[in-house]
Amino acid sequence: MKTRRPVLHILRIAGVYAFVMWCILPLAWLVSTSLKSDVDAFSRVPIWFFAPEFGSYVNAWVDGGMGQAMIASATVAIVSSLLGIFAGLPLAYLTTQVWPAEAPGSARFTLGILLLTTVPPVLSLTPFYRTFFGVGLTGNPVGLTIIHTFYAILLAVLIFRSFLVSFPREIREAAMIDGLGEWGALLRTILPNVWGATFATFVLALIQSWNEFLYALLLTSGDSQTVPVTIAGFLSFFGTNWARLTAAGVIGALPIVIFAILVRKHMARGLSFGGVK
Amino acid sequence: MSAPATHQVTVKPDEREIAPPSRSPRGRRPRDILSRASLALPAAIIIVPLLVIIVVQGLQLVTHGENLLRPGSADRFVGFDNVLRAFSDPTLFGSIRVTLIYVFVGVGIEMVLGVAVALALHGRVPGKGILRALILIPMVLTPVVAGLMWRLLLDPTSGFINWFLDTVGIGGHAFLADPATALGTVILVEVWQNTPFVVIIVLAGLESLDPSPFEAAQVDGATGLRLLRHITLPLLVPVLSIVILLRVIDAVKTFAIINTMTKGGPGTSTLAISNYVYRIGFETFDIGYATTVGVLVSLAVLVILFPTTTRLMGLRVRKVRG
Repeated sequence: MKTRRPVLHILRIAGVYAFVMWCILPLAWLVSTSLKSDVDAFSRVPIWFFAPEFGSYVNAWVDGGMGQAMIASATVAIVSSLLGIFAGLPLAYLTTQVWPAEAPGSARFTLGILLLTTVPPVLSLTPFYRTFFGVGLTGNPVGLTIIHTFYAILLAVLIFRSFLVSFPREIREAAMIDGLGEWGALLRTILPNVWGATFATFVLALIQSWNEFLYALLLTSGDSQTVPVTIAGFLSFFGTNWARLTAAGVIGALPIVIFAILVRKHMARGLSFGGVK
Repeated sequence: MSAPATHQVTVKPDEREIAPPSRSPRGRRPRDILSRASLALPAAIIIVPLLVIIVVQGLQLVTHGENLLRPGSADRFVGFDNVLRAFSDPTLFGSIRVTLIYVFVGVGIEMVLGVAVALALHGRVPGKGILRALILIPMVLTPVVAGLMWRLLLDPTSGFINWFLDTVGIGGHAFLADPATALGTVILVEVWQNTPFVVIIVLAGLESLDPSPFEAAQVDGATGLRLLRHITLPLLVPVLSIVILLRVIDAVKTFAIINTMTKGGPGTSTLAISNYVYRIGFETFDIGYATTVGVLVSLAVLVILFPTTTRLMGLRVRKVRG
């Protein structure tokens, strides 16, 4: 909006900056606490000036098991995101290109995917736990990877669908006439046009998996604990060691924050499943 | 049905030209059917077994009084006892109430604040690119870290917020230990974390609006609030509905923030539905009853939210056109 009145303009900008401060200042406190000594971090009166120490980072990484947790989280997140794209893209292609998006079959598939997205995870918590425990898929990353792949597929179908729904179907038909099969048409005519969406899906699925707490808490333990589970564990085990806890928080959040900033251009469209461009 | 958005796909002109005239090879030969089925196969390999588990185990658990601490309890058939127990469980109704307050108040504040910030950000703002990147951070921050960070800030003895309130003379307060303030505090963190989502999507929506209605209205002399009320907000309705819906779907599932900040306490004052099911299932190990509560709540959520979801996403099973 263009404002001609300078006072309003200044108020508007002050408002924006106030909001950004509200978003960022708590994080500044998190980072500064992680650089303090244990004693300073626990001080009644905030310590404003201190020589930064990285001891808590080493402590969290080595003794606290954050190194191990990062490996576990990265494995689960990368594998489930890639599988999600591999399974989601063909389904989105089937329901927008092979069948027109308005066909009853397509609509039914998509409704099913939406239904699974809407339903809260408490529905499947106990059934999955009981089954996975019974067949030895708890306490290692496999069970959690399966669950996260499931959610990555839902995400991938909805995002790819939003990109492909208006993609001209003639291109696929031309490819079929040229003798490519469905998979050939998908890989050679569709995929080159949706690299942006693929990257956005990958990163959003990665973030979703990295941050997921409920199933991770239930299905992993020991070496397979993911980052959120390990960080949450610090609270009960080390109680008030805020320096170590915040250092672990910074380590665990950093990769995801960097990733998100890298892909922020695709973020809005991916996040709203195509609700905005 | 107005689909929430139209989509643009850039097609190279030459590709368009080589497309054949309308007739398409729509064979129904077995090979075609197989190759089409193979497109759905990778997704089906993951999704179908999980759905089977939900149905089979779900039925078993709901009708049995299984407790993981009592061997043999898995075989104790109880019929509808679990369901009847749920309908007379005051803690369940309490946690539904907590969840409803969390969703309505939390998402309500996120929408008002988020739309206001998006409107303020739309236009010339110094440092806009950096601001947009910074706003993103709370949204993608691991919820467990967000919860613990706020717990640190709110700590009654060493937290910044209580020190600040003491210093300015208002007096500190153990916000998370007082049943009267705990839920409000948890909602504050929900708002902190998720308002950026609203800002980012509404801002993208604002930027993709067609400028001509604005120009026309300005020629007619409309400015400021009138422009906002009669042009901007009505044009934003599709985007706003999608944002509300996605926030509600997500907020109903809340678990991590509450689990790390209060574990549902003090008492049951912040016990949202996910936290309650987790508590029944994996702290008292009463997994038969936990499943029952999960199923009932999920059905309620679907009945309330799903019709809206399908409408807003522009989806309905309908006849093929043409």
